[in-house]
Amino acid sequence: MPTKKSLVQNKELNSNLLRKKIWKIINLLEANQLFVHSRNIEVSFTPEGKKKVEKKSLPEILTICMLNAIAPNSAMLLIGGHGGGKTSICKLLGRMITGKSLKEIESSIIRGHPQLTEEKLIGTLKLGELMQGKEIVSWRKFVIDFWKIIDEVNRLSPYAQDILLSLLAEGQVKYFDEVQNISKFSLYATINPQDVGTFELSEPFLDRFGISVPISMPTSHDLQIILKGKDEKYSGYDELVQVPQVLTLDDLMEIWYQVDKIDCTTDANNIIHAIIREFTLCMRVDKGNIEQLKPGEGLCSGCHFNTKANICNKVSSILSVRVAKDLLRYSKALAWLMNLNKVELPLVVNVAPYVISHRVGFTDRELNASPYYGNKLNYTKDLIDNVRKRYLNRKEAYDVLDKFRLGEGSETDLQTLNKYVNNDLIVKMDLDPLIKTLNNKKYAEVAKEITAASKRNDIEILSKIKNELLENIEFPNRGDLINRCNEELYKQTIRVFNFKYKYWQDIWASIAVEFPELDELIKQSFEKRQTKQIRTKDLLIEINVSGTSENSTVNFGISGGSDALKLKKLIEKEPFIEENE
Amino acid sequence: MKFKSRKEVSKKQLLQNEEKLRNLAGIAWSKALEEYFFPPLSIPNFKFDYTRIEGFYIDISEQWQITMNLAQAPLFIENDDYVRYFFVNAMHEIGHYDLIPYDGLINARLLSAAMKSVANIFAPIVVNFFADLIIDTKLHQKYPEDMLWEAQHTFNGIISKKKKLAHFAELIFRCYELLWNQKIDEKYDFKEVNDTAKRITKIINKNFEDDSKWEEKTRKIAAILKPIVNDTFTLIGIGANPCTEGSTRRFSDDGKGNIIEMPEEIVQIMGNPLENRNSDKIKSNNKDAKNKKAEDFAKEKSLNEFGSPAVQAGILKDGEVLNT
Repeated sequence: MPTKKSLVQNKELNSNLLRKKIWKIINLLEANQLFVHSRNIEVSFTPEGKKKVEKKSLPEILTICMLNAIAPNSAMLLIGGHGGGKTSICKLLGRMITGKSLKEIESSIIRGHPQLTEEKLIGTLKLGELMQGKEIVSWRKFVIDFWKIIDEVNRLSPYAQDILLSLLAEGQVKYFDEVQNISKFSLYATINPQDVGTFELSEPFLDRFGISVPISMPTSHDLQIILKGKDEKYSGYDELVQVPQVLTLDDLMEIWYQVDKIDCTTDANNIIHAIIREFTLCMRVDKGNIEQLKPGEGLCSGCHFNTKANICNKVSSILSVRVAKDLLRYSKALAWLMNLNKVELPLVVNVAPYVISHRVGFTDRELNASPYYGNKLNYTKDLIDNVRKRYLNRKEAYDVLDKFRLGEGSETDLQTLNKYVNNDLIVKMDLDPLIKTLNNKKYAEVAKEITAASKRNDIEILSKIKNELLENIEFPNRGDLINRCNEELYKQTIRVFNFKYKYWQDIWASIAVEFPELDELIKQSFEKRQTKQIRTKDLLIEINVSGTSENSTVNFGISGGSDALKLKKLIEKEPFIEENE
Repeated sequence: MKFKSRKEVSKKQLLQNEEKLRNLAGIAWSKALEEYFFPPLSIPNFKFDYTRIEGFYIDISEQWQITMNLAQAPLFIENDDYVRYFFVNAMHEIGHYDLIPYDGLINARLLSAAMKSVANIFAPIVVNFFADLIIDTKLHQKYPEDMLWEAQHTFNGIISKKKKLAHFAELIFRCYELLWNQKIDEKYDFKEVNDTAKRITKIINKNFEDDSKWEEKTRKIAAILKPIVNDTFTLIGIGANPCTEGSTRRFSDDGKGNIIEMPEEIVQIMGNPLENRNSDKIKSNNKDAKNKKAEDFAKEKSLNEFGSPAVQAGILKDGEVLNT
């Protein structure tokens, strides 16, 4: 039986091996001159065990494309003129990550054009069956394949865009009465803004793409390298040497699982909130619900917050909750890529411009003026840097909020907060009102009880407080306290077990005996490659099936109250189990 | 061997001195921002206008951009004194953002209140006078020594060139003395403005912290100031005789291109009391500046009701609602 230490070491080895494979893909693409582009991004990060922030230079386009692959179920936009290599890089990555041949990858690409019908995009009814009166759908490869590429997405008609919207939003596609669930995918779409016959992409549609990168034309130096390289028009790609398979889908699923488990520091969490709110807040109106009066159209005139350092007067749209989630997901992916065990503030700041720039409506004047001349990414980078500075300036106010969350706020803390209220939109509109709702005896008492129970590792009391709060609708700000209970219960009880897929029926059978109500749900979770959560009042099970071959890994996480403890004991007894953490 | 001409040396020295002052002003600015808990203001335009037409000011209609003419600083031996001087002035300008008028609407309301007693063209003088007293008294509560030191330097700078101040300038200094309960100059005789200063400071001191009384206070102060304002500031036409000695001229801010003559020391104490400053630029023929300016004015319909005050406050132009 392996020791716990050796299991942790194995886990690290496995993680490092997967990371090496990802870097190998990036290196191969560069070394084999498959994608030559010299533009880099400087990523700031704090290496583990050190305090000083360091910088690392990464190839911009390849890194962003790779982040999209290793962030679970993600969609990306590659924006640029023709011949910049947008589609090629998507195909090459697909080949190296999934192991499918370039021909197979090519066959599932959707090429956007205004006449693309539902039949060509999604599927058709099987004619033979239809003659017998049965409506059986034959799904297009694009729908069922994991690696999805849509070329020139802005040439799709609004109708075709709507179909894709449902795929991206709900992870399912409907045709006649059949529904195809797309639980795992990696999607890349290209846009050529100069194309003729293009349609405007709606804000909700653009919002479904988690990240984007502009593909500019190669520099002289890049061209020199490209021209010295092999002429793939003459000889094609050598798929075994030049574009080899490096990962399997099982590997990628394991990476997704690891990425999802990466922690986020309080600072990183707060800067995500700050970014979303700085872009969304307005002192005068709800930007999401106005049509006429907007920044740049008279809304900001004479406003106290109409200053050069504020963001609100430069943005006419809002950032959705989806953006917040994407910021976290892609930051986690970057942390994993950089072998960091936590998402810290600089990582979020690095990723944010790529997550935000394509889905924000800016006022034209500043964007189109020097030094940006319409370059949304560079403009967003400067705005994000401004958000970062403003965040650091108001950090004291967040500390005050944290104190009140724990029920430990004082009158002095309120006075500190008051100093920020006049001139800081986030403090004025978010932190101050929230603190006012938290500043009451009832809340403070329960908050302190939770802290005390957490220190004692008292799962029963935590469960009890949570259940009482769930039933007390009138309790002030109970959502915050319930979240704290959930987080604490998760931290105190989470155990993750790993086993090979071939043992899934043993696990299923054991659980079904003790928890018959979970029988069907557990069975469904093992049906295909997927990640599922099963929740009861007292139990949370997270099942990640990385593949359905015998040796594919299954991660089985359990957390919660007394039921969780009972289930853990049950699983521990199985001889094939490897406890992970 | 080649010698540099005296002209070359002095130009180099001047540039070095300007660079030094810019750095010192930068230090003072950072310190002031921290004191105000980091309001979202951008770095001031640090200028060197040796004609001293420009002073220190904040421009609401230019996204609260602060301009500091560093050439306005008196000559100091110690760098720390420069920092101290710029710090006090930066704190004052940020005070306009943080405290009064705080935003364009409040500015328009205060102008509207002042217009009930003085001519529209002079309303900004009253509002600036009132706002300056409020800000500096607030700052004096926190930094009494720095505020007094700066006021004394300004006073001494003026008095070294001119034995007798204009009544309006005397009134400002006397109001500070009464509000701060400190003497700016032991010997100078303020008796001609003493009663007026007492009446004004009594109004200001009553419910000092209550900003809901500002409009009412501005209205009352405007009524008191009316005769002295009319004596001190003269509306003159374009092409009028040259400026009287010891006086200076500025464009009014009503969008009609009027020019107002006033004693020089008023500008030294208050900056331009008729600001918004950038209306000077609007009256030029620079189309880009006009367009850009127009973008910053209001579209909000309710502002029309303010009419002239809204024009003065920089949220309406020529009575029309403007797009940004």
